[in-house]
Amino acid sequence: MKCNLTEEKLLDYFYDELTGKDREEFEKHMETCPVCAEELKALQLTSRTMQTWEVPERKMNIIFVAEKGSLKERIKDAPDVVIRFLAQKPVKSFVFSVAAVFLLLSFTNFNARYDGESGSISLSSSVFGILQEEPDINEAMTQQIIQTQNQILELVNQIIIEYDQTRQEQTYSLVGQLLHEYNQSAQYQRVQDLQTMGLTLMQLQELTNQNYQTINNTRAIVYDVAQTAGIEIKR
Amino acid sequence: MDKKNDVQLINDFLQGDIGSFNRLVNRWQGKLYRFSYRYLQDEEEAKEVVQKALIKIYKNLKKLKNPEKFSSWTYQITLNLCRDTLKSSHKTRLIFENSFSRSDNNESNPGLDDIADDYDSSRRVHKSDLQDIVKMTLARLPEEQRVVIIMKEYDGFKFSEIAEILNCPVNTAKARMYYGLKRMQKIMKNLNIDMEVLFNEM
Repeated sequence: MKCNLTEEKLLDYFYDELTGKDREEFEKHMETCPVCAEELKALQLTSRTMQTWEVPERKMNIIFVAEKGSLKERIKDAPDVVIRFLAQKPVKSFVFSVAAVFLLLSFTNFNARYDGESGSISLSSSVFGILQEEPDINEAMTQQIIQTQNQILELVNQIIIEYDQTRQEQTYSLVGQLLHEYNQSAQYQRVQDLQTMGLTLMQLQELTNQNYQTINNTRAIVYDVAQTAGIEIKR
Repeated sequence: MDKKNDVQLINDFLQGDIGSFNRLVNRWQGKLYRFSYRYLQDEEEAKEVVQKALIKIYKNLKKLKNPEKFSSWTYQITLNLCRDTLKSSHKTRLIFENSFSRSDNNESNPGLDDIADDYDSSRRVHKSDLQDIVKMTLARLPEEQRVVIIMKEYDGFKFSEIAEILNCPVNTAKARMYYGLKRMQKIMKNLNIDMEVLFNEM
């Protein structure tokens, strides 16, 4: 069975692009047309299924920075940019730094280098051969910009990783120190406990000796008295 | 805070206010990323496309004659870059061309039959399974149909806007949408997946 209404109408209706009279007409038609009703149902189901596909957010830190002065001026004092690595807030400072060099990248060749010991990134720039008043970026330059940007991001990542490692090492050494201190104090406590125990044992021994002495003395006295009184004591 | 519309921001930018452009970037990069991701189904490639697109937009915005068309112009740029990426990406091509033919020597790209095995009726189906089905099904559509479906279903463009982006008549866009949807329904039917039952189970 076929319906002579076009599929365009159905799509318009489903995606809410039919208005006023057209919409009413189509709704009326559907009441009597099983083909369209069936199609609409299938459409609803397909759309609902597709809506289960969610794409997670990906925030890209791209910031465009204002161009100051003419291109020639900028080229004249295109500096070697050195960005210090700030240990406290590496992520923030580097996002900013990446942004800062981003525009400059459009016009110059950049080499990015990271010095792990001093913790600094240095970017040296050299200008493209041909100067243009109105820079028009072509495919190759776009590629280069992205490549360099990725390179810098990689360096930033590297720094963040190194920063993390340093922090981990610090944490580990702190934990190690604490453990060591704890062990030492525990050991000290143990020694003290042993000494106390030893002391107590010695006191106990002395006390026992004294008691033993007392008992012996008492017994001797009892024997003396019994002998004097002529009483025989069986041992 | 950010009450200015795109046209105002574009004008401010063309007057020299770089902040306005950054606001545009902020407003659009998410949409462009999601579109590129749905088209390419690859995170890294999608990110790269958005980067390239934003640079192109920055460089060429002053050539845009009618700022009202910013949205469709931006999508045109992004779509073209997506297409370039798809053409040059071997990996993506594999997903889009081979993933549905059963090939035993390529286990990372299961064919449709394998999916069908996975989703038999006795198994409880989760939302993530549905996502996979949608991704696979979309990837199997001809590119021209896939684009229209993504733009309509996920980006919420009107058919007239889609026609403008693709530079084709409105009815052509609708026809691609319709046949694309039919094809999706057919693929899902071949998988023996009854979506109605699935949704009731979930």
